[in-house]
Amino acid sequence: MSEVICELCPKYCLIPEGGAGDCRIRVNLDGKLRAVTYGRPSAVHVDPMEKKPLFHFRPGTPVFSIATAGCNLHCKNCQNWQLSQKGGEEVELVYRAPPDEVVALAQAEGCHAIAYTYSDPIVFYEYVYDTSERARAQGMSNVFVTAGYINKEPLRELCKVMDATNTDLKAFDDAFYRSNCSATLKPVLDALVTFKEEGVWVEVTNLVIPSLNDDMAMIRRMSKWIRDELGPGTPLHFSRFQPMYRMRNLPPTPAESLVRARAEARDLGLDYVYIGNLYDKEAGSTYCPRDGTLLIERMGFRILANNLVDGACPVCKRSIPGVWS
Amino acid sequence: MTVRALRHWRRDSPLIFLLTAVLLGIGGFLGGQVLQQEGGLVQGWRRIDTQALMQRIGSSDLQRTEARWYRLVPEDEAGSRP
Repeated sequence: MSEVICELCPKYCLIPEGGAGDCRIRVNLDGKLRAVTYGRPSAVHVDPMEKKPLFHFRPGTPVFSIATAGCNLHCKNCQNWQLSQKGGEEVELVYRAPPDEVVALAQAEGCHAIAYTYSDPIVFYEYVYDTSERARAQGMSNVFVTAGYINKEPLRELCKVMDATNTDLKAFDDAFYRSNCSATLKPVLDALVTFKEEGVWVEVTNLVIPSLNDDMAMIRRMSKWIRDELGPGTPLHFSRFQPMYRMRNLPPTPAESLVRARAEARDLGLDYVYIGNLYDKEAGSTYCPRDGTLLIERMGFRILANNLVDGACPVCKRSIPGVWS
Repeated sequence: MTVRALRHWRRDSPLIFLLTAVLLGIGGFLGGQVLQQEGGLVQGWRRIDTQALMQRIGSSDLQRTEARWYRLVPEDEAGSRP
């Protein structure tokens, strides 16, 4: 029996022949680890970039979004559990879309970017990498929407072909990661720093769940860490929790908690703090941190106005961090 | 009365012992699962329906693409971890 150790993520699964890693889609067949969903996405959509959410990366553009089955985390509140908590053989709907075809389809749909999203694209790493390489060769961008639970070396390699990420920072608390996500905090923080070091545009999402991670002291610690390690110009999205999957016992996040979290993060020096999954024009729009000029007005995922001039405030000319062209 | 109760106890004790052992076993298994999940790191691997997987690979619904970022465990180390 030939066992293999998967070194992609911090779980280091030791997999016997015929078994899969904890992610369900990296399978030991004949002593070799196989990425069984390579070129076989189960979700393919065209989304607005704002849905990822990325607010400072090519705003208002469509992004071709794909995902396969599988995930290395098992969050009790997963929004996409029908896809993420299944193995390839358990998912009925499978498209045949090798990397070249994904790029061609994206171009046919008028997209200049491809997002690897919905489940965690870490687990279909090889498919992401090869597709991203081909997309880059065609002048397209790549977007990685992830929980960031990956080892440093594979991440550094991936960053060579990645342009932007929205990384979930689920809580600033290791116990939360352990009890709700089957993961740990430190590798996620390391991944965020690695993205930054490698020049990938970084935005962070924190889903605020009532009673589990809505403690304002923790939100302050998290905001301070983001400011110090990633920079005050890093957009932070506080997102509203909706009860689902194995966490139906908790209510949706009250709007006041999100407003308070946003205020705390801004007080600590983060310049761009947004609220998601809640229709609030003010908290979803971008303002100049120097003079308060409305720069990008949004309603949900829609851009109502983009007043930036060459990526800067039209009044005080302050440069706004992001990828605008 | 005491003698009757003792007789009943002697007669039923193997069954009670067996039931207790089964309940402890189930409790231990479930408790272990919870502890593993609470610990956050369910390391290792998952059993999958290999037959279904091979069928889907056979019909090209799934692939045998070799993954990156793994290594073979040397024979002398194999099986040393649970």
